[in-house]
Amino acid sequence: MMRIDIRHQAGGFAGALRIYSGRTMKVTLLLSVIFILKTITSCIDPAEWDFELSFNKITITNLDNSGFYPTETNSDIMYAPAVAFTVTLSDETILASGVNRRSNNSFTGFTPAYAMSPEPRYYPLNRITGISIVTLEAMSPEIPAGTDVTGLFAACVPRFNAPGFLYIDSSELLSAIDRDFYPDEPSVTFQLFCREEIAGDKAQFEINITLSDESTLSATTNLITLVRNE
Amino acid sequence: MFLLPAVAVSSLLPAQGRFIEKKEASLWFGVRDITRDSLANGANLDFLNYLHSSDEMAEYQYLGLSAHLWFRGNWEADFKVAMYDDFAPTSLNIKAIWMPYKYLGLTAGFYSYPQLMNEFNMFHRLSDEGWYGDTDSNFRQRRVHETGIMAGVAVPVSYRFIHLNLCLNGGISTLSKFREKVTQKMINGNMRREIRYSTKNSPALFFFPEAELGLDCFRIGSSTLGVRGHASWFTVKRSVDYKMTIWEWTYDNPMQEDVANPAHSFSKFEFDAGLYLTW
Repeated sequence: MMRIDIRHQAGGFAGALRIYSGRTMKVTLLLSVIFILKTITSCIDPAEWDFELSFNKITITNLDNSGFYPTETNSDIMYAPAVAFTVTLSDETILASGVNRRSNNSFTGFTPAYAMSPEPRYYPLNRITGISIVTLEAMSPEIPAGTDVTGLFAACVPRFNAPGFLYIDSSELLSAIDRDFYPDEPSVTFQLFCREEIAGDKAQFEINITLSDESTLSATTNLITLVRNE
Repeated sequence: MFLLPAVAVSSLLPAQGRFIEKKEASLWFGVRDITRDSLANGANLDFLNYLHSSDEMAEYQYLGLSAHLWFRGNWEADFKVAMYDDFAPTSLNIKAIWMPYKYLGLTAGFYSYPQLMNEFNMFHRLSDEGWYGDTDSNFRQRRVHETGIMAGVAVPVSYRFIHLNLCLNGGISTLSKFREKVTQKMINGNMRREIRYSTKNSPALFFFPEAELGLDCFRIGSSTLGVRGHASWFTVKRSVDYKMTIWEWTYDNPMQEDVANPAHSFSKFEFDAGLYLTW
């Protein structure tokens, strides 16, 4: 009698287990399908993150390079051996921050999960073909106003050229900033550092960027007042 | 470390005519005191001015293990290994000893130990006026190893439970070669400079006498437990020369110079004490 009861109970338990495992299988299958759908809809076509860029703006900012590292400044006073500028070439018609990084096909009810988040690439329609720096003030008796002083500058291109602690020569600047595409931002920024201690008490430069569409972007630095080390 | 294979091998051999007739293992703690001269700054960086040395009695403390094996045929081997608080077994003193006479033997071995070189960038910070002497704001420290081969004589004396072993070692050693870099920027100026140092071999003769005293305390069967003390003195006079490469503004057109520095007197005294077990 006892044996029959045990067998009966065991049979009931096995049946419940079969029903239970069958539901588990269905739920697991359903969740798997949902997650697979979710994964598919979260995929991003990297090609959608490619944009065209046309350089049409040049911006010059003064750099304070008296300390360890250069920092941007609004001051027009610089030490004579520390004349430095930041130059940014950009496409002002593109607002990079407006790029929607989210997939439009997100599956309702779940936060989109990305297998990858590609950074946008900006392909220039007009390539940079030349850089020149002309002094608008006499730098010394040998370097009068109007002289091309590009060779008197060293450069640094923080995002694209970091050989180490030192600068790159201005002759290498063009190859550093003329790129097939610009990642993340529709702009390129570089820093210029004058290698010559300017003899006068004023400094001003005109920076000209020649582009492959035969246009030129030009900008003039503020008139810089120079001070000397005591 | 050295003792384990020897013990393993010896335990397989019969008691009579053993290859290893007697074994000793020791554990000890020691201190190391460095004395070095500091020469006035010259035109170039002299790395030996920056070997770690202080007014304290001991610049370094270490834990050590050693093994001494007495082989058949008047041969002995002595292995000492010590480590700082990083527990890296970097100090080595390995000797083979041949005892043609009861109280006189000949030794040959290998010796190596590390020491610290601190804040060598202070040379540039103090010397290069108008510059940020080193733009690296970290504490500049590196470890250099003195490594050499040596030979000498050993004079072991035993009386009842007292064992004294004197070794007069001498040899040739060199400091490990290394490369260092110092980056500088002109204060209130754009100019940047990078100086790279690549040191050369610095072989020099050294003198290294040692004295070791052991006192047997307890006998347990055929084993003896005792206390030991060991003292040594190491002296050497050497210079560290290097090749210096300087870049200014850009990494084009470096200037190179071979720099020969004056020789420095250097000595270290070590004392350690611990326990030993002989069987």
